[in-house]
Amino acid sequence: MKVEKRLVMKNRLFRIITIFLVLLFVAASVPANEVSAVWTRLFRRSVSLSQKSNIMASIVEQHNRDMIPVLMEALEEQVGSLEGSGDVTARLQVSDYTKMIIKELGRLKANEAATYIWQIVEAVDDPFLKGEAIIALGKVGARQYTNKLNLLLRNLNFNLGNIQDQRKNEIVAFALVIALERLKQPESYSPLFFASTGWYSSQSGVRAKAGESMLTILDDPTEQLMQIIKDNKEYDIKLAALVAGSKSKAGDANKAALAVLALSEGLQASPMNPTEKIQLKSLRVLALNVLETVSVKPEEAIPYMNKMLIAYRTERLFEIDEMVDLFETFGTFPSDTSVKAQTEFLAYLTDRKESGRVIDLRISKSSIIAIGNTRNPLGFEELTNVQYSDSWENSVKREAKNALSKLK
Amino acid sequence: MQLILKSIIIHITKFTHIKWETRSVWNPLIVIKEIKMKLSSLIFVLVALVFIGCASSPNVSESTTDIVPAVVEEVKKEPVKIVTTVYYPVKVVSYFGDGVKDEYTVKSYNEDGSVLLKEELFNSEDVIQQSVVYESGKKSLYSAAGALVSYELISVDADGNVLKKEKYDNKDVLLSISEYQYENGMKTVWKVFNESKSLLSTTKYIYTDNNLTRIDSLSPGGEIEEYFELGYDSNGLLVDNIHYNAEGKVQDSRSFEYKDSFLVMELIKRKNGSVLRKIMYLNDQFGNPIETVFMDAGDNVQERLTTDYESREEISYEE
Repeated sequence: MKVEKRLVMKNRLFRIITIFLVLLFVAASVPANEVSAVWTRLFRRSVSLSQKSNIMASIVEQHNRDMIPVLMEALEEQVGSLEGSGDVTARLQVSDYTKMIIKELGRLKANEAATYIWQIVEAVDDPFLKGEAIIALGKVGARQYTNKLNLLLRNLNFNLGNIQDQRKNEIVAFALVIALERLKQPESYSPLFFASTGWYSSQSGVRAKAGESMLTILDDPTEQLMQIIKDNKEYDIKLAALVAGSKSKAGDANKAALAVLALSEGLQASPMNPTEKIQLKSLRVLALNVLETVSVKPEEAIPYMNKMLIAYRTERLFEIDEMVDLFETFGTFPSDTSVKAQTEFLAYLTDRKESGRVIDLRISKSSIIAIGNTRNPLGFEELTNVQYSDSWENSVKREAKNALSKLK
Repeated sequence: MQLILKSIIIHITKFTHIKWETRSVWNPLIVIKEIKMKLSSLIFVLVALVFIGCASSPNVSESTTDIVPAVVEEVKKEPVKIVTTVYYPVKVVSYFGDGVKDEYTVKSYNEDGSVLLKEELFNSEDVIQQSVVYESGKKSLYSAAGALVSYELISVDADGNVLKKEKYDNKDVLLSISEYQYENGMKTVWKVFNESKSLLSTTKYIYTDNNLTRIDSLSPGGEIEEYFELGYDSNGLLVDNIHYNAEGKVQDSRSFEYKDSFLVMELIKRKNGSVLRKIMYLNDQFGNPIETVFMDAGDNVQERLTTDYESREEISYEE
């Protein structure tokens, strides 16, 4: 009984003691905004740049949202005075001071400061200050400036400026990529895409960063990438768009649709030189690889895949490794249309074989394996012809037998 | 009666936990001193409270009568060990309004977690942006590249109260000086001097019953330029902080809301009383704010901070 009473008493008083502790700590933790008020007043009273800069160091140290108004005030003042900044030392001092303000506004995510920050972007040439302002626009969430930032990056991507400005432009481009990634607007996808494939040096990090940003600003960029593939004649751009699509978080149906478009583009054009030939081949092979791996198998792909079979028959247009890739993809398309196209091709091979022509074993075997992989009974007749043919090598017949076993 | 009360307090203080708030400037000496001070104050207040409780609550008196003999004996034998749990922030992560991670600060302490040694700010890609290094009497700010940006020389009194902060740039040029005065451990004056050591501003802190109730901000000539009035509820919780100009007109204000005596909402208001922005606090069971959400008046999230804590136990003895 005594023990119980003691416990009751202990709990009751523990609650009391807890409340008192809370009182003490709440009182201690409440931010006293007299600190912001004092530094704000002192800033307004300061006259020279060095005085302002000294006070600003203490304002920034507070890292307090109460300081946003005075930081904006300071930035507005800078917008008006950037032009007449005197000699190099003075300009450096102005630049450092302005950067300090802009950086803090960015850290505080002060959206209300976006107008002044944009004015700095427009007013200055110093790439580091300009870059800091651009990054801050991203951090404050200034979506109203997305289009202007897109335009800036697009223009830099063209690389039309003086060659001696390239390093400066890379600094600004990197900042633009960071800001656009943060603003996460779909319309930024295209300038980011072209930055990822642009002229920028690998040391600048622009291309790599833009590549990462593309993945974060849009989960499904299929629409944008299709537009890029259609609108651009350069095969390396089409290929890069397909690469971006294959790496994106888009669903299989959209990835497949993009691959079909890329495959059609890869078959439409005739290469003008060896580089283009390689680029087109890469485009087709990647498109086939995407179609092989996605779970959705669009019928729209089959005419283009069949076109490759026909072109091989008539012109030997594609190299053997590309044809092997084609058959591997065909093997994942089990529809009747697909198998019909494949059996026609196998019948063509058998005819040629029986007429004494040499057929590359890799072509014949991968064609047979593909039909088997479809598990579609429509392949039965042509595979049986191969199995019992007197012309085919034994190894090919064995492959046909294996394939037939999959159909049963 | 006194012995009974004392014994009860002693039992309870064994289980006392103290929570520790995030501080913009961390001084371990002050921390230790404040803990000691607060514990002493606490026990004093508690004794007084229990006396009042006993006087007005016959039931409590009856209960305590039963336990007199055993407890009194225990008190006489040895000093009471007080275990205080101190929570200190180790990581603060800042998120954008849409939930994307922005930057984070990692705070490093000495082995037992009692002395803050370093604060490092990283961006979302874990690249260091700046660091603040704390040494005895010195706080230094370094850039991302590790270059010294500025530093402060800090002097403290025997109780750990900061008396002076001299801020210098990386070329040892004085930027500003802050000086502080205290009475009974409470800050009463803050003065700011410029790089020429001329007085720029004086701030006076006025207390009523140990509660800070007014803050006067004075010009170098001693005229009031602005002031703050702080109001408390019946539990002694700060509920508002009103900012006036020299003419006594409201400039802006803050009000504070609590749940279970923990601060949960802070409203920052314009001079006309309309809400400008809000700060919402989510606390853990010990009252440590683990999430702080900054919102505009329309509840749009501007920033969210999460804070991770670690704890240490401090042991002291009371006669």
